[in-house]
Amino acid sequence: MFVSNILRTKGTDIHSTVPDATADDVVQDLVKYNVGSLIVLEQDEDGESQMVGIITERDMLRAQAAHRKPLEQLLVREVMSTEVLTTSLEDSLQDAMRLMTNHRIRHLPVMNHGQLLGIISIGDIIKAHHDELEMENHYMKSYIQGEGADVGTIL
Amino acid sequence: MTLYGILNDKGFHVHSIGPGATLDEAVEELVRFNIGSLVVCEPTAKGTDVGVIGIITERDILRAQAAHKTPLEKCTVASAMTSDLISAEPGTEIEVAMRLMTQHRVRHLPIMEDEQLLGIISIGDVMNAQLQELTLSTWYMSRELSNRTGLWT
Repeated sequence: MFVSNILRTKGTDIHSTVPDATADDVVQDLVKYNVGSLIVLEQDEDGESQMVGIITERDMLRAQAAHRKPLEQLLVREVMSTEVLTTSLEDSLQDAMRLMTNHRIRHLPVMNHGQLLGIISIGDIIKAHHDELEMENHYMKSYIQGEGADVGTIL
Repeated sequence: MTLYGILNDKGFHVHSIGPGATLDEAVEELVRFNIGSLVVCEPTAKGTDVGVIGIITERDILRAQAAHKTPLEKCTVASAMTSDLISAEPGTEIEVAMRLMTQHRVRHLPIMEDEQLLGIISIGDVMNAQLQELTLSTWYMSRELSNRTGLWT
């Protein structure tokens, strides 16, 4: 299974924010959309939106532990991670899993030729993996039952 | 593979907190240990035993912040924790844990045995275990194929 399969199932919705939004805005969005991260987008000189970072629940807690400031006084640009690890459509599920496990992260933006296409989370991967196992199980069961039926006919 | 197998690999230690602690204490613990949840424990009437009364996660804390707008040091863990625990047993299969996490949208499963807390398993632990299994089966399959075909030796 590939990253493209996951994106096809979950869709390409991206929740985003901007560098000058406050941490308070971020908390509101994370809770409203029930997601664990927001992509930080900024317009370049040509007016094109570019990904400049990612901000996660963990970043929010870490910032609060470090700064001890009210959320309204913290800006996304102070809190976000700017070194964003990404995956691409043709990467295997296993590649994405390895990236997440090795770096202890839970979200990977999906890129295709430099363009942001979507985002996959650890929850999406576990769900896909579970669905795949269930499917395999279903096929094995019907294969075995089918064979049993054949044997029954022969006997 | 059962959840006991995962616990055996990662260890049985559980980070916990009391219900009367404040949310900023919870945040400090989560950040210090780089973890996503704390099990909320309370001493039982018998004294030394501790009873699990809930779990508090990163999401719970942000949700409380979004709703109340009160400073973290003024909120208690008890006011923000989830007390309807989704838990599993050491003999639970990893596939079942994946289903529980997916259906209930949770990332942590306390592992209970005879109403006692044995350990905790996160979605990261589950993924790590799956990855190891996948890597191993890929290795076996490619060895099997190379034995059969003489390729990739």
